[in-house]
Amino acid sequence: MLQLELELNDLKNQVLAMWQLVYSQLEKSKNAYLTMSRDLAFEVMSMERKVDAFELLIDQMCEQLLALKHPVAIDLRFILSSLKINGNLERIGDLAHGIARLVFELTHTQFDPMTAKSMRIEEMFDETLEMLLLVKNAFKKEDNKNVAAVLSKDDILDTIDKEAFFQISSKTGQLQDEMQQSLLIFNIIRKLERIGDHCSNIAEEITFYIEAVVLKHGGNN
Amino acid sequence: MINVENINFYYGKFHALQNISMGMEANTITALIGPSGCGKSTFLRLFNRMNDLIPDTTLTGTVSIGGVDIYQKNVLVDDLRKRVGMVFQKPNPFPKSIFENVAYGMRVNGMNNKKIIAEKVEQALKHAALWDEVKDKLKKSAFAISGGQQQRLCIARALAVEPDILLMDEPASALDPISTSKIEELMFQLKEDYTIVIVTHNMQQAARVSDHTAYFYMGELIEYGETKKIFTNPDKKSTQNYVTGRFG
Repeated sequence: MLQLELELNDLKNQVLAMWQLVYSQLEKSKNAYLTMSRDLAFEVMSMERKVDAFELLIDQMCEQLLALKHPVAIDLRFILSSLKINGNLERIGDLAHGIARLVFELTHTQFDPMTAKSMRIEEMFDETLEMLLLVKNAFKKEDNKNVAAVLSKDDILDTIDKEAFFQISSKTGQLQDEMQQSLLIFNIIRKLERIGDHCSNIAEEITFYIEAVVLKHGGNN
Repeated sequence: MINVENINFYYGKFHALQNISMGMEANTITALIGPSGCGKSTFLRLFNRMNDLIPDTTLTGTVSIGGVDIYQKNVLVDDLRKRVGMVFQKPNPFPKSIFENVAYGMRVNGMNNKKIIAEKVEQALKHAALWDEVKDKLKKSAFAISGGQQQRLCIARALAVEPDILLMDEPASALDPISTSKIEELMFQLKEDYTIVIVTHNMQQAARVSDHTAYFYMGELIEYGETKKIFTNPDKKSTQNYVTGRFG
């Protein structure tokens, strides 16, 4: 195996390790929400620095590969995609951290699980986790056949987000504590919707890497 | 500008170029790449008929420059080589002064007006981005300047007879990075007036300087297209393996 291939493998392994961490952060955020666990929410918040450290490491690896190896064709596309996926993963990590903070705040209210259920928040968590897993496997196996599935799941998240907005805006007569709770939950929904967008971005980058086809912004290739 | 149709070339029985057809536009730089022995230098030498000097070779197909088949019997090789200049891997100045190296082609072609020769020498040296470095030592030996300067002198020598096409066979492979950079910058300027075909083993150089790239392997033209396509998303797996350094 060429030295360049070895270094590209190292980069891929680091991106996959970061992916695993970000997935775990989101999964813990979900469980913290479902169980209203302050400990779990705190655990997510304390791991945020590790996600940031991964981002810096991967940025540095990409920079060095570009500067020293002059990659072309599929190697260049892999590095460019990894760089962008890295940014998207870091943002997902930030959003998981943000969700954990909101859960922490929710634990200080009289949490009403029925309000949350009506906003389909658990479904959103499941969809985003599945999207994150689908794009991770696509990257790992260099197979973009599930990209369409990821993009359609993003549409589901957008729909839930819009419905939640109307649901909350129609309840302006709520008590202060209920209103606060609704807004916190809606904030979580917004973050999950953003995570879906990042997963879609990642799916598009994987397609660029594997097929050299640009999907983003409607595709301009 | 240059058009090649169904070219086959043999060294004795060895089939060095196989059924090659391609065209090159005027005022562009075309890079020929491929592993050693793939036929790229043989292909380059078709354009100034340098392969004619090699015994026991056979050529079939047509090579046209400006619509004229350069292998027709009525084409004079000397006239062809005035139109098609060549620069080689190692700088090969004549054992003469800097001035005489550039003036040599004009004198051989029968020009003897000293004023015109001096003007054209200056013009060629300026065109080769060498004038400022040698204008005060034109009478000094060509061997007294650096390797990079000697190579630009050879380019000036080729330009002095006002060719249409410049062939370059690994022109920077024996040069340091600064001289290489100067030759590459020079190529960008020269393509405004000339059509350039370059053989190079340096993938980054091919990617940096050329508009089109042709990848050869074992005498076949595997892929030919825009350089930005060849180096970002080539159509053939073989091309990808070569440009990414996994093969060759």
